[in-house]
Amino acid sequence: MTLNQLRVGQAGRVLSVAPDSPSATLLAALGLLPGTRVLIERLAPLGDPISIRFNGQEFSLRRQDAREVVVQREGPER
Amino acid sequence: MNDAPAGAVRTSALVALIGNPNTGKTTLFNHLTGLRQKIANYPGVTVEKKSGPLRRAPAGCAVEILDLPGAYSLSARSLDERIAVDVLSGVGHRRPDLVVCVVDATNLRRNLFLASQVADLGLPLVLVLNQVDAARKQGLRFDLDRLEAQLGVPVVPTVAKRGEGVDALIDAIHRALREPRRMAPIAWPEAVLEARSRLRAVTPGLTDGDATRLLFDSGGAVARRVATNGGGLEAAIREGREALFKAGLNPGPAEAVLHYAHLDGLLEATIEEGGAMGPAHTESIDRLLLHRCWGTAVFLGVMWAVFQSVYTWSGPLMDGIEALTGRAQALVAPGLAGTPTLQSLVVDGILGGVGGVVVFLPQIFLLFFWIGLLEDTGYMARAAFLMDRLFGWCGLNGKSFVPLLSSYACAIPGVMAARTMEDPKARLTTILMAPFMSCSARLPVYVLLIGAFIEPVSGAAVAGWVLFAMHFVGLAVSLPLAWFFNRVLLRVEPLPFILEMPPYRAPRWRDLLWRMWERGQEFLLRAGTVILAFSVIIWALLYFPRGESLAARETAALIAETAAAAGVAPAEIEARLADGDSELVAALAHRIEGAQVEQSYLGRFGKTVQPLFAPAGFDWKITVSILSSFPAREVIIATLGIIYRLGPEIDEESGSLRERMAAERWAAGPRAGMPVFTIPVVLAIMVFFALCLQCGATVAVIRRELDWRWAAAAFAGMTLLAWIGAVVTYQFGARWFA
Repeated sequence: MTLNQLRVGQAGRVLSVAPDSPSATLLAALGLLPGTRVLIERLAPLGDPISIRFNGQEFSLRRQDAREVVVQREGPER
Repeated sequence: MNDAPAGAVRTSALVALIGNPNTGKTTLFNHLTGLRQKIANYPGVTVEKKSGPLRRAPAGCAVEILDLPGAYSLSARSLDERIAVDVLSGVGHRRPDLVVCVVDATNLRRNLFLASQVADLGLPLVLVLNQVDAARKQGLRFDLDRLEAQLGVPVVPTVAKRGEGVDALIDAIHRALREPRRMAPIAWPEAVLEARSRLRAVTPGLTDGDATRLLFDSGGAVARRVATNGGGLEAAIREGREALFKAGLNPGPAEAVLHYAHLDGLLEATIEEGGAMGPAHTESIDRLLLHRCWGTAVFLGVMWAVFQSVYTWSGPLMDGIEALTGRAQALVAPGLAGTPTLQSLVVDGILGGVGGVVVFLPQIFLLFFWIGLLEDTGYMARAAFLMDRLFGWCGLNGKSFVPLLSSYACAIPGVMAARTMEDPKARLTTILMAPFMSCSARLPVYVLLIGAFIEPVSGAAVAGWVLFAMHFVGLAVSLPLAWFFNRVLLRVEPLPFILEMPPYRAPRWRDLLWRMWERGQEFLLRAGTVILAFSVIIWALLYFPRGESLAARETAALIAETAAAAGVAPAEIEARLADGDSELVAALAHRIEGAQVEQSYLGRFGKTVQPLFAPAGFDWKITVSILSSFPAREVIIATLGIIYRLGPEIDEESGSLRERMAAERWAAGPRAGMPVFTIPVVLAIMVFFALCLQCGATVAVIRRELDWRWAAAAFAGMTLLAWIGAVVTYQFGARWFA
């Protein structure tokens, strides 16, 4: 599944990112690399963009940008 | 590389300051340079270039500090990042001798990614660990000696907002200029090294660092700089990326993966994480401020305050400036009474023009105060998050909200506020949309026309609704237009809109006020001169040519008309005029003034082009009034006053102007004897004002923010659109009300 398919409060682990996507490259530069755990923090009032948390930092991104990141769903952190 | 050999004496040095957004880089820049900063543009682009001399330079060496735009990485394609890469590679600019990289201590690993990329370009580095106080509060402990040893470059801890560590940083810069040190180099895998040497083989003069950039960002700065027309280079890039893929590296995130792995090695055992985790207060504030309902409510409240301050609270200050302008004009006028042309040039052209520039300052100051506050506290990113969906569909983004909202007060601060936007296409669209928002200068025109023609016929309720609707005409036209150009015509790929939600912080007041002051100063110096020139040109078009016989003709006509109306002998009126009867003298002055405007260059031009405006139902008086209001739309009221021989000192509430307009009849033509101002004509005039860029100051500011071609295109496009809107309104209206 891709990052935009996770629901609010759900977490995932990054499996891979699209090779030729500016948004995925920027997210990787910010530390969203394969293996990174990411949490969907909240949605904007109109459902887009979404806000995600990884490595202790929060970013807002549009759903179409989130589509470039493939994740595996993970259970809640203990 | 370009460092001076050991022991050689430098006489000048360039130090580039780089860092992620929100690291306190600009605060540090202010500390390093004091207040002696220069603001210019990078050649060919409108990205601001700030530089200044180092406050305490080493003896005999002038050190220039260059504040590069904030960036997360050198790989993304935004204009800011491209400029950073070009400057660091010494393109179109002296290559920096040293790079000072400011990193946020609370998020060291991510911030060091940029430093690692900079180091790979082969530049010596000093690392500034800013906000160490906040990091300590979060329980982070740094082993600075170990960090310095492992990274291989000097590390200076600072708290920029309190000026702590600035002296140590200056000392470190001095030392680093004498003995430059480079960060521990990343060990690129074989596939990268091979691809790089292949790139260098087909491109003479390419450095290793540039080759890395070329390999990893196909659309980045280096790719733009190095002509990729020869198939050799493109093929080499493609082959290199394929080789990476075969070596098990996805070329998209490969650079980040390798740099982060490198950094994880360097950072080992340098940071100790205490118990406290992250800035917890930020999360609880966000639960409220980003809440579906409460968050939107707070957002609307904040925006209301921003709007009110620009729209209403700036009023007294603007009135004060206008009063001062008036006083200055009254003070200077008598001294120049002997030379009427000079008097009119100085009083109406120059003083009026200067007043017309300065009057915008309160709005610019207030808006940039708010923007500074919203950005410093971290709320701006939240506002953009809340609003992005509303604007994304037509090529704008969440950051367009503040510029467009403030354009409802005045497009000038609105256009300037678009600087907060990183995406150049979205910024361009926002700037071009700003003048469509119904600014406060349109209000008097609406009030005059609605009050004079719609309210008496349709009542106060309808009048209120028309006034309300007029405020959305520009928005309703420009949003689909933006969508059409961005998504249909140009098919612009939207840049990723990825925005950091920084922890909430207290604003840094000194910096905030300083930035606000800078904006005002810049407006005065850069746009103000152009606005002044417009003002003088329009003055000349209305003042020349002087009609020699005007005064005699108008005096005779006034005497004859007044005598006939009062049923007395003309000689009696003549005597009263000679005695200085104030009513008659004023009436005569207004008549002469009106006649002068009528036969001025602008008046003649208006009469000539009136047929162009005939399809919108405009007579020559409306046409001249509209033409004269191109430098500033509110001028139309004064021009109407002059043309209708009431003098310029009237306002939109003036009963005499309303009566005079309502009584106006077509003198000739098919509609001879019928009223000029019918409902369709009034609506057409208002639509024209809603859509037209009748504001020299906005044109000047667009030229300043983009370039003169965009300013000219915006002006021509909006004028055409306004004409079409007015004609369509009139033609439909005339059939509807017939």
